[in-house]
Amino acid sequence: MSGDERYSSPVPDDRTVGSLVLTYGAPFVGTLLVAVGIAGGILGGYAVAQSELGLCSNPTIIVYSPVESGQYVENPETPTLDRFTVAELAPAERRAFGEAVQSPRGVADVRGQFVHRQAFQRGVLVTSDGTVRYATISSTNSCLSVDPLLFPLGVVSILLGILGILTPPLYRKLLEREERAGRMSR
Amino acid sequence: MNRAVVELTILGSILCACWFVFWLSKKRATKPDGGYRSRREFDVDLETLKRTVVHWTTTTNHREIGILYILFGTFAALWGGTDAMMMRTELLTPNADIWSTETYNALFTAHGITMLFFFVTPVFFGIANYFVPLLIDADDMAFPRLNAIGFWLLPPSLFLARGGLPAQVVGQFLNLFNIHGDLFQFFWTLREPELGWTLYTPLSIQSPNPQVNFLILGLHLSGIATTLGAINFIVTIAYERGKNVGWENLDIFVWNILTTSGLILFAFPLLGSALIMLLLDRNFGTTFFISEGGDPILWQHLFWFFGHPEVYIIFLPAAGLMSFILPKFAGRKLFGFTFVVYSTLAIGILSFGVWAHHMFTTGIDPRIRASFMAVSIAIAVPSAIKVFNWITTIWSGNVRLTAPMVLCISSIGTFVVGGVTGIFLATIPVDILYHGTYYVVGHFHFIVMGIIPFMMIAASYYWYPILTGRLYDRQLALFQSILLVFGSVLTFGALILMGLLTLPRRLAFYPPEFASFQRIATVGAFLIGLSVLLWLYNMLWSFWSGTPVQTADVWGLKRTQQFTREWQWFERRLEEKYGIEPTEPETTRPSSTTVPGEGSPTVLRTVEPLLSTIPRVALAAGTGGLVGTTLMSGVLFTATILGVFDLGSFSELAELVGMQGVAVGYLLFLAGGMTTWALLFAVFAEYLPGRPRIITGLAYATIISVGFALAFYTGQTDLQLLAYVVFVLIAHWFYGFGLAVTFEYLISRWQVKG
Ligand code: HEM
Ligand SMILES: [Cu+2]
Repeated sequence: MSGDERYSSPVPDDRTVGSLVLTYGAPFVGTLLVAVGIAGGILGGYAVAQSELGLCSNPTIIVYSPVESGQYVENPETPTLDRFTVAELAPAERRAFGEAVQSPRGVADVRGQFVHRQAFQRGVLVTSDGTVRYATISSTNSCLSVDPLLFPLGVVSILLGILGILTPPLYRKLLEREERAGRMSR
Repeated sequence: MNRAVVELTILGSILCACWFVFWLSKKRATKPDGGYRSRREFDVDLETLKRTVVHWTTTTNHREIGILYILFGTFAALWGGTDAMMMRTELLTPNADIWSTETYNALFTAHGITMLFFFVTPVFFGIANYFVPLLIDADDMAFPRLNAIGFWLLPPSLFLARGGLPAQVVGQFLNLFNIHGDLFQFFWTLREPELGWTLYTPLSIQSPNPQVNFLILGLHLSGIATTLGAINFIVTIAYERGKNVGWENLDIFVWNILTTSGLILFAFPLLGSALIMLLLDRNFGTTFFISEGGDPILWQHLFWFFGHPEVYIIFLPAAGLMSFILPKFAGRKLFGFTFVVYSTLAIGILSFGVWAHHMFTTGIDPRIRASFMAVSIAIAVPSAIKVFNWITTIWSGNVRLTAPMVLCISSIGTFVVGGVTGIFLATIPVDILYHGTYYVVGHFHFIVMGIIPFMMIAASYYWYPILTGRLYDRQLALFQSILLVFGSVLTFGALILMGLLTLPRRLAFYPPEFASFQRIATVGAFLIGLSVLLWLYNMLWSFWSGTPVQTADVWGLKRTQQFTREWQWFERRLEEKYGIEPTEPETTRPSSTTVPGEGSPTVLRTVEPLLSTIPRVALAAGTGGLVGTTLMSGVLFTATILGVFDLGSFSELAELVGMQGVAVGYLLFLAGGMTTWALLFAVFAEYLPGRPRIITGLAYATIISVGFALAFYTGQTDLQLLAYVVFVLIAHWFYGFGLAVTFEYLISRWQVKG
């Protein structure tokens, strides 16, 4: 840094509009493209990955402790909820229910046929060994469906964007090269 | 998707990339191309590594602890920022289909807590640790070891608070290797809590997740650490000042740190007590916050009695940095220094009396509510004083648009948006409508993003030479700053708009109508994220490869006599270490000069002569008004003949005061032109600096012509309407011309000083 550059603004006045566009405009548009590209790319990429890896469509249920369930059992104000015994639940539901009761956080995924989905959505009371517990869906884990074109588009956008971001250093290199060439020819 | 693994992978990759950039830049900087660049070279053998580790973990030097704080805070920011990016990714689609709703809840809880407790305060403590002793000419902090303890309590408290995430990942690894058993149940059980950063009861008591207990303990520990630091700052500032540093010439930044520390001293112990009560309720059967025997609302009172001061604990240091850095690039001293200090102190006190504005919807007594509303609105006044003083400081100053200055100026803008939306929220009816919507999220992010990180980054640029002895890439810094500002406004502006459409916050899903807003907000958030990465790159790369500074006066502060103590210290150090001679600019002037365009504005100075000259100014304005209105009448008369202006509208003017007739109306019109509008012009003409007065007059007339055009409109259409507008405009230009010229002539004739 030379002595007088220190005091001037970082953009010296002799800069042309063209070089300003190259040093600030191009990377700006570039970052914008990258940001949009990341958004699109994630959506598109994830949509492919989730079905391959089975990351969606297993809803999570939450089962309350018997004490907490009390408010749903005795309270006349709550709408009447469907009641089941454990035996009445479908196998996947039964497994999830058991898991959730065991789990300190009271949650488990339903892996398999979710027969009473509608009822669980509203909330159900499940009786096992004489205790009544309230259970409901806490997360549906629905699947993402987007246009398959989104992923390639996102990637292209990111690549274009990176080019934009790298414009200033590339441009600087170009200028240096030209200068060197100019000096040599002189 | 598996959130824990994804998040730790992202965070790990960022850290690895940082290390790589750092390593690469060092390697490039140590090319054998002369001695200077390889200055930082050192051998990496085991012995040195050990010594380095021991040194950094046992240091009590205030500057080194400051750097540790800053590194820790930056790490927390990256972690909390990753949470934010993941939330915004979820919100790309209306359904909760990338993360589950539970994950989203955990994300915003962790994000809020990490940002507020582990990012903002540590970074500001780091900056203050480094610079407060330098600014007050102290050798070190008052209690250096306490200082070290205060810092080293933070890593364990962060680990306690956010341990759910690593625990989950360990659990999944164990699963992968088919390890099972009760012994490891711990790892399959802990999850990040889903409570919101406010930990509202009864949810926080009922939640069976054991991690909530660790979170409470972690927050408690961080509260202890913060309080220790605050005590240290207060004692240091009160007792360790150098000979020449009295209360009267204390820096604005130091004043802000002092006030912040005072707030911490009263707020954080309260949080600690409330957290312990919560812990007891969860685990030991007490009933402080349980409706049978206690009151869930009590938690809200205790929490917000801490919570609102916390808002100012994180804001005041940012305001201090602004008041400190802004004047340096405006070539002026801070306008109204004493008022800024008083406003800081006033905020400190008032902030303890507004907590219930977070609880307007909980059904507290309306009379109490109303008083809280009044105080909440009143607290805007000191903040507004700051804003006005900042604006006045740059007003027709010698502004240099460096990266820190761009951030300062933008922060004023975003802070005003954040503040004004906040005043609306302090009004009970508005709060009842917008409470719990994105409006709130947009509002506070304009502050927590729009001034706090902005000012941290500005400070990192401003003081980078002191911290590293080198300069950063200025072009990149400028670009990064602009990008950051743009991204923030885009993101949080979109949130405010969604809030105005009353979209509820803290939900992973939303009605599809909001999809485009949410996507814009997400793209903006990614821009913020990218700009933060660029900043990180610049900081790390320049640490080894930046241009070494050749003078301590990097910013040309000596020219305006603003070469403050930390830079003087830096200059002495440069001379001792590298023999760099102090420089002296050719010309200097005080930053408080009153020369127009250079020094401080002259508002106070002009009040006095104004008082003695008001009658003459008024007379000049009145005469100017008469001339102007007469000229204007000519134009209007012409317009009447052409049939585009209706004289009848004058009689409507007369009706306004209960009389009739065109003549009366015209007289009223004349009187208005000679008094109201002319005097208004005189006032503006006094204060609008620079330009020739005729231009001021024409601009002024153009502005007021809009009002006239609306008031005297009598149903013209098409071409007639166009002609009407044109004639109104011309008439006003005549008015402005006559007014300004006459006014100027009389003022100079009577030698009234302008
Ligand atoms: C990178 C920029 C940031 C983005 C994109 C972002 C985004 C978000 C989002 C999406 C939410 C949740 C909104 C909801 O659903 O209710 C949120 C909440 C929050 N953010 Fe940020 N944020 C950012 C930076 C910050 C910073 C710097 C701070 C503090 C210094 C902060 C503090 C908070 C707090 C306290 C909450 C409330 C959490 C809660 O509801 O319990 N954020 N943010
Ligand atoms: Cu508040």
